Amino acid sequence: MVKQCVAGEEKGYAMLYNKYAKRIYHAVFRVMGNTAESEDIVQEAFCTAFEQIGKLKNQSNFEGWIKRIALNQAISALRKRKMVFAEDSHLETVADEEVDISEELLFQCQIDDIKKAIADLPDGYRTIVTLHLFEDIGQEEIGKMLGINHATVRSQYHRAKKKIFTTLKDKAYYGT
Amino acid sequence: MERDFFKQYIQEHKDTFEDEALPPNMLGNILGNMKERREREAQKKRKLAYTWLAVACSLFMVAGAYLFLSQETSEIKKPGSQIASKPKDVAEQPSPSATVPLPIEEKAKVKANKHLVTHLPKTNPYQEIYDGLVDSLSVASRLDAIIKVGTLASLNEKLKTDLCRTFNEDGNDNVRLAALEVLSKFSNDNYVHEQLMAGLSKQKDPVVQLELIKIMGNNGNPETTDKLIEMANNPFTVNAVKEQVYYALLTNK
Repeated sequence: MVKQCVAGEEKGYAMLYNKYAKRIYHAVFRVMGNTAESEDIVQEAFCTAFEQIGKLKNQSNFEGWIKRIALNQAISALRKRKMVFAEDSHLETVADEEVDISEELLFQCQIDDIKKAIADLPDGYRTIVTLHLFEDIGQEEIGKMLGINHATVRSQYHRAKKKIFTTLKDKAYYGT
Repeated sequence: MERDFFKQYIQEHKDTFEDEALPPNMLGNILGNMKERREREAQKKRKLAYTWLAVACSLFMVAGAYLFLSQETSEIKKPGSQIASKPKDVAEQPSPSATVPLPIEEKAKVKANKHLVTHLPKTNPYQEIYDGLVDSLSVASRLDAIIKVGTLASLNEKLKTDLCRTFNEDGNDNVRLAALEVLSKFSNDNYVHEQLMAGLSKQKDPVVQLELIKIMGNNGNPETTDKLIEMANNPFTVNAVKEQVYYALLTNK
């Protein structure tokens, strides 16, 4: 497929798109939080990837490559929105007491509840959580991508996780 | 490392989190965008090429103009060029002052000048006159050339031939008249005399005819008399000319 794309064949583009577009779109959507901007970013990422596909050294890693392009574009878009990935001192203080959730309770939760709990996070937290949980990117690398300290990424991730658990617990307790 | 069961749970159920459908026609948009970009890129390249072409043309024109102008300047400066040689002066007859003995310094200068002249390419001093006589596009040029011939003390063979040809064949009456006036000065020359005689039969313009009869009428040559009688008998000869012919015949010695 990649070779077909390098040769400029539309069939190759279509096959690569059909295989990876959904995963890329969801990754971007989770970071951005809205469909219109996500759609634009995915389109732009695919255009860039198809145009520069000749530069791709490891052809088997197309998905990782295009996902990285798309996520970088998403982070740039968030920055354009004047969103700052701030260090710890600038963030709201979250109660540091242990808010834990058992695996049983987590399994009782609906997927949509978890999705909503993540979506309701502030932009900065949501970005870190989605990059770490869904894209399996290490905290150090997330720090590099966002231009912040990896310790900040770690603490913000834990705070975000606590927020999610609190939301899910409330949901389970009130049964709404 | 601490076990993150939340992350594990998410990774295990990742596909369930991605159940939403893709927005429609994204692939079409991507391919359309790529095509548009490629066209824009090609257009940009074309524009750049045109810009460079325009710059190259401008440079070429400037260089061409510079070469042309510099060549022209060097042509003017060349001592051997027609402009520098001043053929008018060369064509002039030697002035009486030339015979006056010159002081030694002056002589030296003249000698030096002569030395220079010998190294100049030879140009025909009458060339301007020859060119003027055959300038079919300008009556003024031909008249100017004839006037210049009139200032000469003697005529060489080519000048005689050319002037006679002008007298016989030029389409303009004024030019023929001017040529006749100059030729009359040299009517003692056999060739010029013959041509003037022939003109009595050839010339059809009354003004030229009158002038020619005035010049030729009194020379007492029997051949001239025959020509004059011929003119008098010609029904196409205008009365004024005929009268001049009669007068010439009567006063002929």
